[in-house]
Parts: sequence; C-alpha cells; structure tokens
Amino acid sequence: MECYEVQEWCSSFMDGEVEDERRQRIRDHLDGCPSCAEAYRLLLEVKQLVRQKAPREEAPAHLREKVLAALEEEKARRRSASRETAFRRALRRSLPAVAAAAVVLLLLGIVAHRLVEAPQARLAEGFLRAHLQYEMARPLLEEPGSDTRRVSARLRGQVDFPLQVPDLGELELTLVGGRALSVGGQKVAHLLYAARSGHTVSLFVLAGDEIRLPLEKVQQGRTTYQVGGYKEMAFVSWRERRLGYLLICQGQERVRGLMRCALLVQNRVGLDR
Amino acid sequence: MRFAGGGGKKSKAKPRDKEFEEAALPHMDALYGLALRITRNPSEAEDIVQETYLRAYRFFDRFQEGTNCRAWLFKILYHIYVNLYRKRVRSPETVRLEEVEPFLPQLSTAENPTFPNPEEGLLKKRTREEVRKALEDLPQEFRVAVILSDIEGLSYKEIAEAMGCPLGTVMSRLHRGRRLLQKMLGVEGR
Repeated sequence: MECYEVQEWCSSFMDGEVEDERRQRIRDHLDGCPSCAEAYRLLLEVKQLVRQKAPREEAPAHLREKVLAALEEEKARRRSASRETAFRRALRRSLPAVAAAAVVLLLLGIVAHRLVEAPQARLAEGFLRAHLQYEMARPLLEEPGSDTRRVSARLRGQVDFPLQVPDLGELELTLVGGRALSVGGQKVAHLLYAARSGHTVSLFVLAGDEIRLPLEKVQQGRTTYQVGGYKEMAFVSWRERRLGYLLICQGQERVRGLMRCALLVQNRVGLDR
Repeated sequence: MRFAGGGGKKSKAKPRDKEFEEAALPHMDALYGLALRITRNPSEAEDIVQETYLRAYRFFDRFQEGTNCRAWLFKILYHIYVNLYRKRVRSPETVRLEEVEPFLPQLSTAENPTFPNPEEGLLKKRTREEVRKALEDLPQEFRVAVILSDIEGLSYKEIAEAMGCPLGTVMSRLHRGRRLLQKMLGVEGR
C-alpha cells in the first residue's frame, strides 16, 4: 500500500470501519512507515481532543417541559381522532340496522298517514315507498344492468303496456336496472338510474289515467306536469300516449333538475319509438 | 393490568407511549447538542428538538426495536433541519470545497523524512473553548459527521443513514473534517 492510500484510509482505520484484509495491510504499512504512523497519531489526537474537550451540551430544563407538553397534546389529538374513527366504524357497522329502522319508521308513518290523508297522497306515498325501499335496502332487481333494451324486453313481459326504457346518459344518469311492482293495485314498471352524485332517480311508468298527486300543475306545450317537493323528495309526473310517468329523487331542491330529466325522458321515448 | 388477550387494540396503546418515552426522552441532551451545533442558536435548536420528538412519536411504529434509537432520532433531526428548517433560513450554509481543499496537501507528512515529536501534552493545552470554536468553524456537513462519530459514537452506517448519504461520503466527510480540525487546532507534527 502506498503512503497516500494509507493516509486516505487512516480515519476509517482509526474508527474500526475497515474490513479485515485492508486493515491488516494498513497496520503492516504503519508499522514500517514512521511518517504515516505519525500522521495517524495526529489524527488520533484530534479525535481524542474532540471526544474529550468538546463540551457536552445539556438541554435546558424548560425544553424538557415543552417537549413533554407537546407530546401530551399530540396524544390527546390522537386519542380524539381514534375515538372519532371508532365512532365512524361503529356507525358504518350499524348502518344496515339504521336503514332497516328507518324503513320500519317510514312504514309506520305511512300506515298512520293512510288513516287521515287523501287517496292522492296515499298513491304518492306508494311510489315514495318504492323509491325509498330501493334507496335504503337495495333489493335485488329483476333485471339489473345498464342495457336499456334488455331491461325493456325483460319488464315488458311483466307489465301489460309497451314499456320503453329511456337512455338518460345525456344527464349523466346511468340505468341501474328495473323491476315490476304493484302500486295502488296497478302494475308499475320501476326503473332506476344512478346519478354521479350517488343518489338514485326513480322513473315509474304505468298504464292508465294520470297519476293524481298532491302537487302543483304546470302546463308546458301540450303536456301538463305535476311538479313539486313532497316529504323531502322531488316529484315530476306527466301523462303521455296513455302512459303515466313519475320521476322521484331525493331532495326537494332537485325539482328543476328533475324537470330537465322529464323532458329528456319524453324526448328519448319519442325517439326510441 | 392486562396487556394481552381480549383487550387487543385498546390495551396496546398505553404501553407503546411509555415505551416511546423510555426509549426517546433520555437522548434529549444529545439531540439538543447536535441541534445547537448545527444552528448555533439555542432557540432554533429547541424548536428542532421539539419537532424531532413530535415526529419520532408519530412514526414510532417505524422504529425497529433493537436498533439504535439515538441514531434514529438523529436521522429525524437532521432530516428536519435539512428539509424543513434550512429552507426557511435566509442563507443556507454549504460546504465550500474550494476553501477546504487547500488545507489538505500541506497536512500530509508523508514527504517529511524526519519529524520532531509534537510537544507532549498538546492535547491538554487545548481548551474546551478552542475545541468548541474549531468545531463550530467546520463546514456544516463535516461538522455533523465529526459530531456523530466522535462525540456520539455512531457507526459509519448509522451516520450514513442519519445524514442520508452513502457510506463513502461519510468516510470522506470525516476524514476531511478531522484534517481541518487538525489544522485549526494546531495539531501538527512539524
């Protein structure tokens, strides 16, 4: 080993950070080379100087207090965060039960209302119930899927009118599926669309007279619409070509959007015919 | 008190806090010493130490038991200094190699065929204040390497981890740092 090499390695050698084979060669060189041995000795002296004489700092007492206080604060924050997540977890776990309870309460409410309310309201309640039942309990649909033709074909066998399932993609509503129901003694097709916001829009189609609902009537073009909010829900209903249509979605404030939806349904049904 | 069995998650949290305190708090002096030597400012050093403990607490899960807790804390501290703290300071300190290199050749004694023994007891004559001052004048990265090795006794591997650099860089920082100190402290063989 050359002197310059040995001196490059001196520091690591001194710290015991050189592997055995090189270590031996350095040691051999130092044994036979006074100048390198001296350089090594001086380096060792520096290390000892630093080790012995560099003052050891002591953290001030108030720093310890500060750190402990900051840690306590952090722990408290963490505890409350974990409590919160525990609460959420519990809530998530019990969501089906909460939903079931809500449905039961709703049904009880409906029974109570039936005794006092007008037949119109009773009919509206029937649709509302069908919509909510899907929103909350997500029952299996007879024909799930987003293929309008397939859903149409499947449900036509169960309702006695020429059902057309409209494609509402223009309003970013995706068909989820459909089912056949009986509301107020009438056969009804219940079509379900999922909005991007996560809520569901129900489209009910049935044969016969207009669906009488406790809502305001609005004339637009040749069609008369029944439009409005009812029990926290938005409703739009109309009659066309001997079929009654009813749209329902959650949130009274969505009446306007639902109106646009109604126009699109009319359009699509006209087009697809 | 039950720590195992049915209690599961809940009973685990408390001993972990205690474990953290027992493992980390005894190193406060060392952390403060390093922070003070890096920043040369007591109140800044305190801030960095406090932040170091908060982070260490948050990431204590990542600390591998059986490894050097002090080295792990240094790593966090240095990271905070380099990545968060130094960026806020107006003029970050850098290692200016052009100022460092010229010292090196004349330190080599290899060419001197004969040399007098340095005055016996030179070591004893250097005061604490002189050593402190010499350390303080060392460029940042050399200084941290020297402190971690010579004062804190960390291995090269631990220093490399703490400073986030390769092992070879630790070697050269230490070597150069010590040679600079040698010059500054007048520890010379001639």
